[in-house]
Amino acid sequence: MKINIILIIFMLIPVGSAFDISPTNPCPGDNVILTGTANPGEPVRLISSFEMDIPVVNGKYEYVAKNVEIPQKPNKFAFTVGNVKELNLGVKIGMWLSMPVEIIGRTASISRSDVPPGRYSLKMFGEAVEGATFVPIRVKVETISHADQNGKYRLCIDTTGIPEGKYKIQCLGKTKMITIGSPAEKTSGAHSSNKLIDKDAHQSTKSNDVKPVELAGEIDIFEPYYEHHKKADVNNINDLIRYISSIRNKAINMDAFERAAFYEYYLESCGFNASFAYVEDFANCSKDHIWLLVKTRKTEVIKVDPSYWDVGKTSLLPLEDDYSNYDCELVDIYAACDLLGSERMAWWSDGMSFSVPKEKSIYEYEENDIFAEPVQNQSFINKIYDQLNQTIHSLGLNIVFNGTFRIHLELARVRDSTYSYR
Amino acid sequence: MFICIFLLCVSVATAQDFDNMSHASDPWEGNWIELIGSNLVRVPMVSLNGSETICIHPHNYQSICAKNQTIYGNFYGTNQLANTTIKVNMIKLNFMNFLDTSNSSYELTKLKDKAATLKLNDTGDAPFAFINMSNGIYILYITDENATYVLSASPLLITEKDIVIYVSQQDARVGDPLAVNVRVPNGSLEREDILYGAIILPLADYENINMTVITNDGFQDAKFTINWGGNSLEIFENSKIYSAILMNLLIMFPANSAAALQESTKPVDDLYLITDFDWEPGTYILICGVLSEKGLVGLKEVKIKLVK
Repeated sequence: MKINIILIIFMLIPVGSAFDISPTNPCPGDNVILTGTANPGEPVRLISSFEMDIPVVNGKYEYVAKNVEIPQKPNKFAFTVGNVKELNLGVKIGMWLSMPVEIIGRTASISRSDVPPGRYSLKMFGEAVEGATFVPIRVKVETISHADQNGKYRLCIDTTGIPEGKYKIQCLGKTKMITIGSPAEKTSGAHSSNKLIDKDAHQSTKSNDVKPVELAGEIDIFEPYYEHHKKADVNNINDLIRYISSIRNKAINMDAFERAAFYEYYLESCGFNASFAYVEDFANCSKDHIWLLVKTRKTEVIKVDPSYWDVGKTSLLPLEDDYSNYDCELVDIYAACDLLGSERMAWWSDGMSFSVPKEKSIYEYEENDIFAEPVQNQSFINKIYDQLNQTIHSLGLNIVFNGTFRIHLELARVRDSTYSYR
Repeated sequence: MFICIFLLCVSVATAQDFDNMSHASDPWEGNWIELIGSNLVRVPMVSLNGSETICIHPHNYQSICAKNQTIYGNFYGTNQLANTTIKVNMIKLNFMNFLDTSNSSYELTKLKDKAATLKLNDTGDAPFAFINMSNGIYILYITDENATYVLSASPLLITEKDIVIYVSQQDARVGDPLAVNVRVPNGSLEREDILYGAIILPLADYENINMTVITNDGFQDAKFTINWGGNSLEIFENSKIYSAILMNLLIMFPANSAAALQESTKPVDDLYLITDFDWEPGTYILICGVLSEKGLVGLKEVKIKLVK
């Protein structure tokens, strides 16, 4: 029995907007129209996230999604898969192309931005951790729609490939529910399957459990969260700067809150005593902001703003008065998630940031060049990846390869597989 | 396969004008180079269409040699070359340059010290051997004694290792991920960054590839056409691995084919190829390659029988 798939539901978060959804009970494959109003020309950020559990059979799991639509650019697409010992991700671009995804602890993450829109067939499979009965998959898709000159925006979502079930769409505190298909029946999805690998039954399949999720604070914190890396000289400000610099490039695509959480995670894991400072109205800009407070054993407090450029500041270690006042100090990620929602802090939904330096000393990375631009690795392997990337980019697949040899798969538009050169 | 296709192109390019080579479809009578070895990979059927001659490249396999192995080969010249003297030369391609799409020309290194002078026998043939060759991509070409024209050319791949691949036939079932264990012997590559790659496709489809090289006035006007199924791809000018060409080749692959990539620092790793339930059971060809900073570590081809 083939069932269910990937879900792409969008949450509207325009300031001062209203929105409407039609129909509220679409059948799988129907188009869902999201309409709303905002300021003329205003970018409207649309986010959807959902989760489902894939059953484990004989220690293995498999998930197939066919013809999943990736929305317009700009977009961001992220998977987080838990309870896994190994994960292989395949994309069909005429032929199947598969790659393993790095596992950190028992979690694998894949994240890419600005994926060319289009339809993709995906497959995830591998071995689950011992004793696991299911593998949770969390998917987050983001896009931006711009309001027209009259302040109206409209987004059409093809629900092909989206699992049946109830979904919650939230905008400015208002919540609307839609139901795709008939969730009570849990019958087969239109184009995707969640197949159990059962060597005895060959093709035994069973429905996955798609859960509607809260759109704020719903992403679990992976456990154990804080790790134990090589300890830094926590009283040495130069060490602090070096450690921060070593991960700077891995947080490029994060927003300020995810970045702060990522830095806090890494600094804590390296022995620093870091906490969050949060203020609802930073520098009288009517915008909230978050940064870090790193305390030395001499009770000195060093302010670290990983997103200082986002708020018009000039230093990673700011001294301005704007950083002297904050509404509250959040001692760790748990406190931060409690107050702000884990959705906002969830840097771990960005696959690249998982590959933080651990075993190696950070001094091997950027010892003398704290604010250097990312160094282009001209290694042979990178060259191969560049070549492959160039080659198959327009086929709909990019292979993005970073300096710590973590592979990300970037999905792109699939071309017609039949081809005539002339 | 890509490597073989392009090396064949480069070989023809090296030969410049094969009208002068007096090629014939007879492997023993037509200025052909035969490399001898046990690690063989299939190459497409290549048809050479000159202004006056049309012949088929007689070898269906390309021998892959490992570093420091003695490389044995034979040159089978035409009868007109009987008892003459020839030179066996080697050009090494810079592998990085070979993959670089931004440059339009190869960086060729002529290995003068590898040139050898051979006396052909009464039928125009002569065996030859090379020892202590480093790994890399080479073009082996044979000229007349004065090196005024190229008689024949052949690609030569020398790998760092002779890799071992293993697939459990028990697990080779359509619809299941196909686990391919790839091992680089001796483990000396440990701690290096290695890229493992594998591709599987039906044997019948693989054998259905053919390439035509058409030229009237030497290589400058040569036209390479790769035909596969109902699709064809033309390659003009030089034969570099342009991204667009490689992409177009990828599109030509049948739906029941799959590829897998894995980067690792381990000398042994598993690749998982995705197969669909609608694949026809039968004989498939599996090709594995291993690359490292040093170049091509190994290349191996095996047949796999996929069952329901």
